[in-house]
Formats: sequence, C-alpha cells, structure tokens
Amino acid sequence: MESFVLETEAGSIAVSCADPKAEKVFSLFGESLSLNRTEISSETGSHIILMSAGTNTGTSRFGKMVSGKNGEKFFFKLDPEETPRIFMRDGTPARNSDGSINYLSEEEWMWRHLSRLSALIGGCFFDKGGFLIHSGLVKFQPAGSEKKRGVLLAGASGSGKSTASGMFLPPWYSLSDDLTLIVKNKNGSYYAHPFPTWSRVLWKEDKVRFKSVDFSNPVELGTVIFIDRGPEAKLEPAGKGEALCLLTELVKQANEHFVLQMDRKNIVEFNKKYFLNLNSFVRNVNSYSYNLKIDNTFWKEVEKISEFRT
Amino acid sequence: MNISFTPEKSKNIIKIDDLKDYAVLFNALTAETMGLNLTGLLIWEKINGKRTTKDIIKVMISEFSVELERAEDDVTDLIRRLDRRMFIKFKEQNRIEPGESD
Repeated sequence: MESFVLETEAGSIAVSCADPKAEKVFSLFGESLSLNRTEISSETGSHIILMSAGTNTGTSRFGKMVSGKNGEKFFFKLDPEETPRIFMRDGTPARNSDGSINYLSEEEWMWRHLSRLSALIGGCFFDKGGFLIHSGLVKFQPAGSEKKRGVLLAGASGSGKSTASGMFLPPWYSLSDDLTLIVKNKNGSYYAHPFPTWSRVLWKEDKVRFKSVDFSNPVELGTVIFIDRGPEAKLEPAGKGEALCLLTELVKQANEHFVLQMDRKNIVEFNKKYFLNLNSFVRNVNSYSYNLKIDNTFWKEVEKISEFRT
Repeated sequence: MNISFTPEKSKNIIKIDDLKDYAVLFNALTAETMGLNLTGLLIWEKINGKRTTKDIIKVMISEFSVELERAEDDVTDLIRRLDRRMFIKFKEQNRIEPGESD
C-alpha cells in the first residue's frame, strides 16, 4: 500500500492508497473531493475515503482522480467527458455566444483538483488551530545547528514573494513560494509545512514529474513578513489588526476553489473557523511589513530581527 | 446617500476589537475584512437596526463632542463603505449603490 504521513507537532494525518473496493464517504463542510481509492486516517483512528468531488454519488464535474501505480503519490487523469470551465447557477455549462462550450485544459483541471485537495487537507487541521495560506515559507538554520525557524512570506500575487524567496542565501532556505499549511501544537506554538507550487508543477515547460510532497518536516514559525513592492526597502513591525486583515485575504485565496461549491451555511462555517484560527495566530507571531526593493539583500534586513541574530 | 435610512448589521459578522492597532470586522459569508479605527468602531457600535444614519450622526455629536461636518463625513463615509462590502444593509431595502452620492 502506498502511503505518506502528514505529521505535525500538533498531530498527524496519513494519506494512503486503500482497498479500491472500500467505500466510505468523507465530507468536510459539505464538500467531498475526488480522491478515489485514497484513504485518509487521522490520529483518532477514523478512516476516510474521499469519493468523487462534489457529491456522494460518484459523479463529478471535476472528473476522477486515481492513485498512482509507479510510486507517485497522486496521479490524475481526466474524466472521459471533458470539463467545462464555467458553470451556470443551475449546474449547466456556460456557453459562448456561438453556442460552444469552453473546456478546461488538462493542466487547469489538475490545478483545480490540487488546489481543492490542498484546501481539504488544510481544513482537516481547523480544529487544531491550522489553516492553509497563500504564502511562501523560508527556513533559517545556521550551519551545524539543529534548530530551524520559519518565516512566512505573505503577499498577494505579484507582490514579490518569489523574488524575495530567491534572495535568500544560507543559512536561509526557501521551502515554498505559494502555499503553506500552518498548524498549532499542544503548547500553542505554530509549525509550517511547505506545499508545492502547483502551477509550476503543472505548467513549467521543463517540469519534472511530480512524485510526492514531503509533509513530514515542518518548521517552527514565529515570524510573518508582509511583502509589497515599494521604492525603498524598509522592514518595520506590522500591527496585529493589519496582519489579521492581510492574512485573512491570503487564506481566502488559498481556499477559493474549495469553497466554490459549498452552500451558504458551510461557507460561513468554513470561513469562521479559519478566521478565528488566524485571530489566535496573529497574537502569537511577530509580524513585519517589508517594501521590497528588487536589488536589496532582503535576508540581511531580516537578520536584524532578534530572533535571527546568531 | 439618504441619511434617513436605517442601517443594520449583516448576519455572520465577527468583530475583533482587542487588537492594538485597530478593530477588525469579518464577514463570514464573503470572507471580507475591514479594519476600523477608534472612530469607526464607535460608529459601528451605534448601528443597531433602529437608529437612522442621521441619528448616528447626532449621537456622535452629543456623546463625543464631534463637530457636525466632521461627524457627517465620518459616519456617511463609513456607512457607505460598510454597505458596499456587505457588512450592513438598510432596513428600507434601498441599497446605496457604489459611487452614489446625493
């Protein structure tokens, strides 16, 4: 049985290929996701089979996902029927003015699936103070030191997160520039798991075939830096309220495809849970804003923060 | 905007008002946030579904010694922004459209 374990300081989730004949339906906030033959088990021992997306009947507008045969943790294939890009409120495909239907490309379809899968995993950690966020993650680990600390690089698309990630030199290491899962442990400390940049996995011309995600090596997180473009490089503390507003928008972005098909009641429940987790998070981390100047050695600025002085 | 209309808070709003820089409103349906400074928070607290916008302006003047022009600007500006982002609605159901002014 293929498997990997999503372990955190706060708990663990194991995801594995299960008996293909076993059928259980797991629903989170009214959503279920197409993870045919994939089992998720939690520390509590509950076992979950995720069926086709959106319904419990096995049919889905997103098609099906099957487990890999050659060691890949996930392998996706398109439904025999192509998937329209946009649906009307009544569930019928939107049509162009000439009556034709605009279909998703295979990459777009996969990206939507992976986004929803990522959000689902994030949702599994809501009750442990966790959330999935559209942000980068860097690690600070001086040579010879076992201790590693994470910095969340938060910013909207185009703000310069990837640029900032690329500026780091050892003892700084970029772990993610797009999606990060954050989980709280029993002592109230936060740990971060980098997620792949799915769009790069899917669209990059020289892409290496995606095989697995390493969820087993989180970093302790005590610092958030909000990246923005600006004429002058400047690192300064950010207010908690400001941080809460900015982070909420980034969590919303990370989960938007997951929320898309929920009903009103579940949307409210889902949003409340991550917002309250964020409210706790901002009180327990140090937040800074940074106006990014492209030619600036960003990491030197960050090392002025006491936490990273060696 | 029509200051005789009565704003009321939307459902599913969470208010966080114990942070140091400003208060945060969260609309759990739209996942929108709005930061409020102290004045904004005071105005928000006066919205109860009974007071009209005009009433709220009067309360700001009487309770906080704010000048009329300043109170009108602060209250109408915030209520317009709250309405656009669905943090409030008007009991009269005559919603203020974005950009509308009288």
